Amino acid sequence: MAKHEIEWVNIEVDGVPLRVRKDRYLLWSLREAYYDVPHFCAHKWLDPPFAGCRMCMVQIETGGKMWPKLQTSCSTLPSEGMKVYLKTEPVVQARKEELEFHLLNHPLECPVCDKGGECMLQDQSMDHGVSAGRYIEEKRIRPDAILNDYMRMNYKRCFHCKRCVHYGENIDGANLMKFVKRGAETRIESYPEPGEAPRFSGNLIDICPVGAITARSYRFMGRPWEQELRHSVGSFDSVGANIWLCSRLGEMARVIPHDNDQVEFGLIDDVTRFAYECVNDPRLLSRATLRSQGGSEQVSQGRGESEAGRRLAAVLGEHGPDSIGVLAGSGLNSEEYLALAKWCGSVLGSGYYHFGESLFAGAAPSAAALSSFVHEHPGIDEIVNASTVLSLGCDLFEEAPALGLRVDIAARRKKLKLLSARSHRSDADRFATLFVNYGYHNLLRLVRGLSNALSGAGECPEEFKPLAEQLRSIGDDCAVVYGQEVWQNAAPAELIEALSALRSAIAAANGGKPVWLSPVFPGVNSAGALLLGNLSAFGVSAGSELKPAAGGLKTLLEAAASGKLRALVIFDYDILSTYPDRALVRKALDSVGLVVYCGPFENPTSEAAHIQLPLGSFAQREGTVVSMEWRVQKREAAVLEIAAADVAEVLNGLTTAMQGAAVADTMQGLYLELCERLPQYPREAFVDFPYEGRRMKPQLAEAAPAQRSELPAEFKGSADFPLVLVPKRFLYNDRAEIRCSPVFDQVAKPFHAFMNPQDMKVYNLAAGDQVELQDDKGSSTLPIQSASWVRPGSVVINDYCIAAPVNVLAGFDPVRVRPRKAQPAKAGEAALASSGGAE
Amino acid sequence: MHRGSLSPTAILGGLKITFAQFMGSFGGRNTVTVQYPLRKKRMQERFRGLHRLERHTEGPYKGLEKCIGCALCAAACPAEVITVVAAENTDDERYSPGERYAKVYDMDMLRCIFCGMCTEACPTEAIVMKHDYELADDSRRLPNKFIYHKEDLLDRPFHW
Ligand code: SF4
Ligand code: SF4
Ligand code: SF4
Ligand code: FES
Repeated sequence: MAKHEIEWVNIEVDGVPLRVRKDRYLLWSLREAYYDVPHFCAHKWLDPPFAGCRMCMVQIETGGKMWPKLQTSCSTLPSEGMKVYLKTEPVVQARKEELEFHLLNHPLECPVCDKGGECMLQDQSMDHGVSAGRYIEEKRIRPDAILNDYMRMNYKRCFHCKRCVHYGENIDGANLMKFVKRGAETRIESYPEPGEAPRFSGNLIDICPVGAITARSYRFMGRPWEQELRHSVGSFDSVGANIWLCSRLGEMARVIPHDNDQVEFGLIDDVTRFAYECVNDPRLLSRATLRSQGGSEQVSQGRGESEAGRRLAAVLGEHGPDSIGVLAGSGLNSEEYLALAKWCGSVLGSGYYHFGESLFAGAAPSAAALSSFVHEHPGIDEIVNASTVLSLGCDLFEEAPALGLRVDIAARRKKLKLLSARSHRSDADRFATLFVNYGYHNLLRLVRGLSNALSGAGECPEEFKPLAEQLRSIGDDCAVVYGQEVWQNAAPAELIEALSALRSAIAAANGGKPVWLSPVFPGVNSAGALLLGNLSAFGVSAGSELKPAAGGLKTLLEAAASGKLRALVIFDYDILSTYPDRALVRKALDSVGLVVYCGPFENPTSEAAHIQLPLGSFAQREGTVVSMEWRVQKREAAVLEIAAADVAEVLNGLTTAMQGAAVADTMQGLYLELCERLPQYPREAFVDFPYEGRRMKPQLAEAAPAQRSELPAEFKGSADFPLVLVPKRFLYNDRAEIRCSPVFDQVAKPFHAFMNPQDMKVYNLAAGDQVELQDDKGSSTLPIQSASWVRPGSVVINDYCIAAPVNVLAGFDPVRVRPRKAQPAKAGEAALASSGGAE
Repeated sequence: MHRGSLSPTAILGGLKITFAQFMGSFGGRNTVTVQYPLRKKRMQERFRGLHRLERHTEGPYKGLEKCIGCALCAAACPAEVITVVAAENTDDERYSPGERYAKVYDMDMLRCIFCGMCTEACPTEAIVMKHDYELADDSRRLPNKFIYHKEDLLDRPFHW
């Protein structure tokens, strides 16, 4: 395709020929060729270049004539035959003078500065500067300030490169930093948005070349060279952002991006960046808890494991195989899933296991859906470089922030056409060419309608037609991204089939241009869980050790609730708070005689368990994870003082207690076994796994999507229950890592019900009121906030909030609610009760 | 010069020096040894002995620690002797003039090669080497007496 073709030109650098890309500014090509060109204001994220610092000056000659003035290489495009000089007298002199100028007001406090050791100004002063200053006037001083919940601002260190201002203007749009005044009085000012949780502000720490913007949690934690770095992957979404876990003296010191240009491009969200604090927190469990009627008892991990093993063995002895169910969340590594699957098969003899969240409304994955995941998905590179991105039922900023920001940047620069359809508005649509707002639970209607409109057969509701029109001209290629609203739908399998059909319809309407379908999975290793939890679907013969899964999550929970299962073993999955059907989970937990919970932190599910075992957190267990683009990457364990068990070790302990002996699996052994069983799983040296990861394509027969064109009826509020309930996934929710990281304590988290101002007026509610949402199953009381991004006739709540769990109301089926202002006295009581409970 | 043969004169000449030195050690002006540990020798000015953390002795910061917890000494140290954990001064609890001070300053003296790099790296001349050289102690087990903490190094009595 024309748009991906690269044009090259030949230039000469200090007399040495070099071939460079025609569309790239000289600075980047030179740096890529290992020429040391100092620069401050240019950054790979920032385009167009600002060219304000004048550090990157070079001399340029074209057609035998030297240009009269030095040029800034960060804003000069190369041309054929151009000669560039980096070492001539005027260039060297200009750098020296420029640097002296930059240092005029800069304090000499490198020894106490957190940036010391990785500071561009420090490095370049060493390389290109003069060793003594001539400036004897007073330097500008101004006391430090708190920038937002995560960062502090050291005004006197700022040397006005303006990178942070450009980051706000051209990248994240939050405009946290601005310049005020002009000339010698220019100074940087910060404008935090009170009451709003920042999403991408942490990247300012990286983009500021000096120590003007630094992290509060990293303050004085240690020098960059003193830290132990381990490669890992952002563990709170499925993008697979590459990060470094930095630790010092056995404690986590910080998380920094690892700059994988194919994945996150160095842009990570604030939760990924700052949630490491939970690893240093005392709330990270290190001891087991045994609970009984009489109370609870803290015991050592070994004692907890042997107790759990003993009781599991008793259940097994009494009720035989298929009496114990195993559940695991989506945060485990693939190796750990394999260990679990083997354990279920060989020790428990149970087919009742489920890994990852419920993606298919509790059912087992359908063949068509799996085929769509495997055969129609693009890479993240392909999504951000596509001509058109259609985001359906997913808020990329909240669900896959790194990907969302990259798409947002491309849309802002008009490199791609962003089309978006969702049940409510969001920041992620701010550069969308077209946004379609449909009522929640009407996604299937939209998708089928679009297919119908594109293929010209069947009906399409009027409000979706403009979107269909846009999809007729997708340019070179199109990526359809979908997420949360599909996973929370009552019939995701049907919806995914409809999406596959839509994909074919878009391709057909555009003469067979490539169209991809990309699911945004909810968890870091949801794809791995899908793979390892359904090995037989991916053509791995079960053998004696592996038993095929007995059905989906719902089958398992129903078996537990009906008394067929006598014990449940749950690995790091707060199923009680997140599974849409809370009543079923409650019943399942209450009916089985034994619940063993194994996880790094406490949560409502673990509190319902009889035995709670500690497990390493995301930073402590090593293994590979599979991202939404089927990229297999390794998470290494940070170098920490506290030892932590991984799943294989826990299983080892349990099995030893059950049978007297166990096969001690290592992660490396499990990885090799995984590659053995699943030949498509990328086989690399485990210890030295390539950082950027390897993309894989599981083997699976391609299933043709069923073509159906009938539109489901529109789902709306009813007379009794006028509002449609929208459980929304937010970046800031009650996940343990956010709850247990003190850095987030003050962040304004979205634990409100959000309602359109119009509706608020109708129900006579004011912002901050406690509102009781009722449906026919139950009710939930929480404070209300007015938000114009909510579609009238619906109410949005955080889908993971422990204090007011949405699954009290919601199920997989569409839910309508009736809002009612809670009695103030009642609210006061509730507040009292909750504060009493906290004590 | 008697090349290739043993000359009694030369041997006697050599022994004379030995004898003179031997006699001199009983108090003559040529004595080079001292009655250690009863007497101790004064070291050369640039001798690099046991470290000490200094305080400001004059000016507005008098009494405050000179160390700012920058860990540059630890970075310079080729033997990985020094561990610094920095923390922030508050107005109520002030240890050093600026915002940063060393909360932990540990030196593992068994590793130290007394090269003096730390003292050269220190931007505030907080860590200095004095002339003490008696470093023996009696426990490597916990508590390891060879690990000198900040309290041991600050205000440490020293000889010259
Ligand atoms: S705060 Fe940092 S990034 Fe912003 S202008 Fe100052 S030095 Fe540049
Ligand atoms: S004298 Fe040398 S080896 Fe000893 S602490 Fe200082 S730098 Fe390290
Ligand atoms: S002794 Fe000197 S070099 Fe070492 S941490 Fe203190 S101030 Fe820095
Ligand atoms: S980097 Fe080119 S002018 Fe700043």
